[in-house]
Amino acid sequence: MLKAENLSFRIGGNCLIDNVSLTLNPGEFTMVLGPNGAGKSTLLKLLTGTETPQQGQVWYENQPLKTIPLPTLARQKAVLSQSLSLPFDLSVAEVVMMGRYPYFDLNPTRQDQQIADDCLERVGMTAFTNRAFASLSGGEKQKVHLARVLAQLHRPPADDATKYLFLDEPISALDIHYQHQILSLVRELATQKMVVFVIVHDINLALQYAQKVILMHEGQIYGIGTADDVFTEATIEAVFKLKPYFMTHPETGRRVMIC
Amino acid sequence: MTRNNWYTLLSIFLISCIVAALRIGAVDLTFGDIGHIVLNGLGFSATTVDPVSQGLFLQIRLPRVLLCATVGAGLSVSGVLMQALFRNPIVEPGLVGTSSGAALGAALVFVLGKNINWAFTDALGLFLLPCVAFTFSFLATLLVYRIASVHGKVNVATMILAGIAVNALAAGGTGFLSYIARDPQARSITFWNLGTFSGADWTQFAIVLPITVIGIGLALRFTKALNILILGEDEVRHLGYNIDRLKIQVLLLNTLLVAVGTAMVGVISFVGLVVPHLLRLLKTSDNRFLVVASALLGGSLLTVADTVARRLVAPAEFPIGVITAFVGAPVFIWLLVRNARSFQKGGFYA
Repeated sequence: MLKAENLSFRIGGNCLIDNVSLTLNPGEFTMVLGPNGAGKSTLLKLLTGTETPQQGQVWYENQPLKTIPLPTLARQKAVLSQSLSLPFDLSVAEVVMMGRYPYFDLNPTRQDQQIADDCLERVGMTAFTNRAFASLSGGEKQKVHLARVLAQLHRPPADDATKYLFLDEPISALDIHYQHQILSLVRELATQKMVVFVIVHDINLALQYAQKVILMHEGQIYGIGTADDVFTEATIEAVFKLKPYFMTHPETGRRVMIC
Repeated sequence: MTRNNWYTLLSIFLISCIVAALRIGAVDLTFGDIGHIVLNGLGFSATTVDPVSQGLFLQIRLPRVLLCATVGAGLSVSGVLMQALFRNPIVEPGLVGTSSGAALGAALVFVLGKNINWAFTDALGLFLLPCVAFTFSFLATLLVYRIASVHGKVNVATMILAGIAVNALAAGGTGFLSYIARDPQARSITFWNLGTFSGADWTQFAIVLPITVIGIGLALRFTKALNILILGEDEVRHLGYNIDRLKIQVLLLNTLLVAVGTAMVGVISFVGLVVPHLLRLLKTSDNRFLVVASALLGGSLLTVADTVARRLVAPAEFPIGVITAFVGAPVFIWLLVRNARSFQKGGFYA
């Protein structure tokens, strides 16, 4: 379980996160949405320890985040950030293997190698193993980074600790086939005692996949709950300044939104 | 070819370079001579050898070649570490003040050392020189790094300009010291600015070798974290390392490697740039490979450069920095041009 209490974070005079509290449970696929600059990425940084809040505290299980040693944390928590640029070229295999760094000393074991290969396969990138990372398209890079964080959180059979997965716009550059494939993959991961926190922009994907939705607006949580509860005409109009129309999917009966 | 094959190949190359360098010089020795001298020295044979050759080999050439290989290894590994730390492929100890800072520190000890009789100078004894060189070298590098990095991103233009300023300051200090110096060697500005192995002896080797070996061993411990640093500073943290501690540790280690060599032989530039880049041609940026391979290749190439410096105009000799600059500067320009192009693809500025 991840718990945040009264987080506030300011840079200069700007309050990026204003008194946010939340609880995320393992097994729950949480999606975070909101307009640009609403504080989604900043909230992710506070929850992962990349930035320290001026006020408030983050807890992983019952331990304050800042007291957990970094090497321990690296085996529990993985983060996929937005747009990483690489000054040196690496092969796809090397990037994915970094996800296993917290587990071996200097050279990977055969098992680490196997896990890295499996994770590449799960995102459909096996054919690219020996390619130079810089030569990939934006979407392919996203898939490789995703394979890296999957490798980092790979769970051996005996391990039943809670894991934490944070993804900042993991599907922004993917075609619709892979958007759905990756979100299905992540939803399945969530069921394995994992806290999953994913920032996305597509409200319809949230309606389809999320078990819990956090709608951010101006550094605060505007709505939290199931997608159907959070996304109403009133909230969309208030947060996104757009008039939405909700319809029903003819086959699944789930709500879809068009603007 | 696998990593291990490369290591084997580079080791064979290093040994070949050392053996060749031992033979070639102002006086060329034959394998027979060297064999006799070594066997004699070890007490296995009593063949009479020319005492001049024996003295030349044991007291001058052998320590010189070994020191050269060690310093080459240290400088090259330092290049790898700095490129990883600055997240930039065109960094090397000569560019960011590390070498010139060390030279200034060493010059201080050489020129003023005899006039200062503080308690700690006696206590440090033989290690006074490397210690002072280390301190100045670290301060110079830290200054350049602080000036050039904003929010963990190193701006290349600022870095190079800051490097020029710090290098000029240090070179000015060194120049002044050599101007007021009485010792003929300390008087030689070329000695400090272009480097030479002409004064190499066993004492120097005995100081440089253990520090370099330990330094390279320590460098290997940081290679995984430095690999992740290619992705970004936040990623280093997410994968379990303290980024601030990592930076300061690598900076210290790197300074140690450069300062100890520079204190003995002066500033030798471009080795730390060229050697890692030759290895990067193998299409890898894995620092685990680069550290080990650079140590082997750097030792080999500097030994070759020193042999050329000794042999080309024998019995006189070039400062070795002349050779490394003639090879290194074009490589540096080539990298600049290539990177200026890849900047448009978004690859250069970290």
